[in-house]
Amino acid sequence: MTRYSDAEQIQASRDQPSRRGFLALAGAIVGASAAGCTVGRPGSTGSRTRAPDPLTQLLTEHASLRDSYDATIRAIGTLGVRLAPLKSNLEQHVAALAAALARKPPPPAAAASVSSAAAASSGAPIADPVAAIAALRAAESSLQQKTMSYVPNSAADRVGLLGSIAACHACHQIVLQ
Amino acid sequence: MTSQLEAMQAALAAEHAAIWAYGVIGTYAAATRRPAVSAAEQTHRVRRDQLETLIVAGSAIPNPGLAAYQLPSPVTDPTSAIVVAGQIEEGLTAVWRFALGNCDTSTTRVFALNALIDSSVQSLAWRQVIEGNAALLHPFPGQSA
Repeated sequence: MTRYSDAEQIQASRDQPSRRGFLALAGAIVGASAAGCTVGRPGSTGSRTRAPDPLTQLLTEHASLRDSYDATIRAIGTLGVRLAPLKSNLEQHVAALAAALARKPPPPAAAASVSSAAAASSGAPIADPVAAIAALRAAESSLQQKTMSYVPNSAADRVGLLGSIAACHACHQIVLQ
Repeated sequence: MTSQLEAMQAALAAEHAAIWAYGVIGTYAAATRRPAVSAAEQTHRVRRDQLETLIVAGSAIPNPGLAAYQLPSPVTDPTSAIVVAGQIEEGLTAVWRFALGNCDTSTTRVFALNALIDSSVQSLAWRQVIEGNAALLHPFPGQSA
């Protein structure tokens, strides 16, 4: 249901103050409420609910990379010392993005349900350290680009944070070479 | 509130200082490091020129560099030269993050963002020369503590 048709129905109901009109008005209000709850309606000014904050997706992807570090460290213990500082940085990115969204950070995924960046496509267990590092490096590169893409259009009080996070992803790729 | 122009002029001053510092660093750096020092200096020369162009495009006059600057710590040998190179780049990350937060066009934001990333990576590279794998990985390069 579009906003326009909501308005039409409301207008029609105002023109006919009958029982049928009242029901139409009630239906229009319910419809408008339901439409207002629908996500992804940028430009529907006056809607009672807002479109989701674009940073939400970035937070989810950072939590996912954090979980990939977790899974890799669990699967290949010898990489623990090397990857721990990177995982710690991802935890801080997740916390900072959650704070910017005024919400709680997503908790780490349960061990059994995590598929690492290395195993994400195949579902295979992570065993090869070289492949695991390469997969994490690719994921860092992808998330750096994603984070950078938010900078031109984000609110002024967020661009510094986004820039620093993107720079951190660039540094991680050096360490993962 | 700092205007975009003020932030750009502050970043330009820092780039002038970095270019001057790399001149000293290049004098003391080990021969094997000189190509990397020279490349880093060239990166800053290019950025300074682009920054001056952006400032002129904003109908302002870019502030000139000074004759000499104070280094963050003394450069007396090849090791201290690379230590200072790391400090210079780290200082630039803070300058560029501040500039980024005060840029209000897409073009200047992307410029500041790329400068922040470059300086973060170069700072890490110099610190790795001195500290190896122990070089600290900042979660938020350029953010004041």
